[in-house]
Amino acid sequence: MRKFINEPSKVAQETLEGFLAIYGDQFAQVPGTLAVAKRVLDDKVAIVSGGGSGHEPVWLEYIGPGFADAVCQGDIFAAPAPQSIVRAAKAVERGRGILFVYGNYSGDRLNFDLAAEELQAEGHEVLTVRVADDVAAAPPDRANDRRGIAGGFFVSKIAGAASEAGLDLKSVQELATLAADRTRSMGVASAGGTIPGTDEPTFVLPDGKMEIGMGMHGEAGVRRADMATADETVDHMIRLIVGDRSLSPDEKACVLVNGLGATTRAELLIIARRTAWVLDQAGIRIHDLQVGDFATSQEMHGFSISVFGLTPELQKLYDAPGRTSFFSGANRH
Amino acid sequence: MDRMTAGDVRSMLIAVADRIITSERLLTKADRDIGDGDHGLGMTRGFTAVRELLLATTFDDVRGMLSGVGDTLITSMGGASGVVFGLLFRAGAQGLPPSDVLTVPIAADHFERSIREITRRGGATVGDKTMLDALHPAVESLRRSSEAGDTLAYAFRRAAIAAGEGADRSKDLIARFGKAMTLGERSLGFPDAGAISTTIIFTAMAEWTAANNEHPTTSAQGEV
Repeated sequence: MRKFINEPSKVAQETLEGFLAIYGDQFAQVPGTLAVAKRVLDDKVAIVSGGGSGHEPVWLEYIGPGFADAVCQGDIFAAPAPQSIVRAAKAVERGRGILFVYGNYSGDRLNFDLAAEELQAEGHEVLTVRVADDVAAAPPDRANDRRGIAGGFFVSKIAGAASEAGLDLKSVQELATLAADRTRSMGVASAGGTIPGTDEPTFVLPDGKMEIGMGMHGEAGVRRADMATADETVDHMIRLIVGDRSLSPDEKACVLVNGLGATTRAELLIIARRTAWVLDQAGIRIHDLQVGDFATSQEMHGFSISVFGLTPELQKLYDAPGRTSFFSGANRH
Repeated sequence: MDRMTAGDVRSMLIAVADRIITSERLLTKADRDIGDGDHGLGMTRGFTAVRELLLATTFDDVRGMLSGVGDTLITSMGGASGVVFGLLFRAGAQGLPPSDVLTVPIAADHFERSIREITRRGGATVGDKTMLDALHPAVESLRRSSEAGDTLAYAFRRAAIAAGEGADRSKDLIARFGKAMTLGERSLGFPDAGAISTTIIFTAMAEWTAANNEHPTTSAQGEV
């Protein structure tokens, strides 16, 4: 055990308390849950996100102006229970309906679907957008089986901005769905993370090997390969990402280079450098490039790259004001 | 014994909870082999809450109790397992009148209804390397026992064996559902953790029923 934690069973709650120690003037814990809600609510569609904890800043910190109104965490790597989601949603619903935005995992689907049915039975309008951006998880003909990874950032940004723009529930859902459909990601890792309270990492890679297509919970990727340089790895990943969904010549892209927990800032910058270069060589214009830990998996050593192809309307929403603890707006203007 | 009182069922379910709780490490390891390693923690959390519920409450209605156990699992566990194992106890009891006893036909009906709901919501089917690969043969066995007029002890024993065989066969399946799905052929050789949990549940039911076969704790709800 090398983690600076207290009781393993209290990790999710104490993480949340730390977040509120910083941002408690804006957000408050929803009683009886691991959910956090905005203190001041605007008259707009309520965006509610959530999923297992242990991926911080996902989902705990995906809350703020232009992002979610409530986020509902579960225990480490486990989807939140329906009752928690219902309470989180009710804490922020203002009669304009609720949009669920979450990653495409069976546990999240099961629990959010039960929550949606309960809310609908009480007369609330609920629609859902699932993020399924991981191209390594399944081939294109089984895109519904794909997992949601760091590309959820773009979907959250668009959903939040569309809601702030005062659009109705159906329109917000359509735009967030469009963003999800136009986002592709892929991860790679050279070492796994350990769930607090367990002694062994969720997977062990032989020294000198990397897992291409690694999932956010240590799920295996498409294959194991010999460790390669940053440039070789980026080139390979971009080929797979752009190969899965090619961008049209007039389509600008938002790009996210994401650290999975134990990757140094220097590594991420080296990766960002190559990513920008490769995309430029491929004739893809980058509208914005974000680099940092946006979706992690404990101390997993690795990174993911996400590419989000914009339309003019999506670009406007992406550029609209939005702020979280880890994001303050587009880097390129 | 061909019928159990609500008090018997309560004692049996406490035995189930105890067995799951003591299996935490086994389940954690099984899940880590081909999943994310949180199955043991979640099941222990859920069945600890179930144990507290059962110890704190007396029940006249078996279906109400099963429903309460399911709700408690869904609420306390989260994750896919919370809903799936919650539905195992809850879905078969929903929308049906109260029953003050559990018989083999009632158990067979209950778990058949639960399987339908788990399949409808979860989207997995038999052969996908999930808990269904243990649950489905167990429930088929219960149905056969119901038609044959078997005692509860015999029916649960047969169901537990069928579940265990199903869990064992899941080693030879390639995961097509859940977090192990992307492992593909690398999931071969490992049983599904949910199938193991299912086997533990039926085994604990069978063992409690066998041990209390001669002298069921008819109405002594205080005893466990």
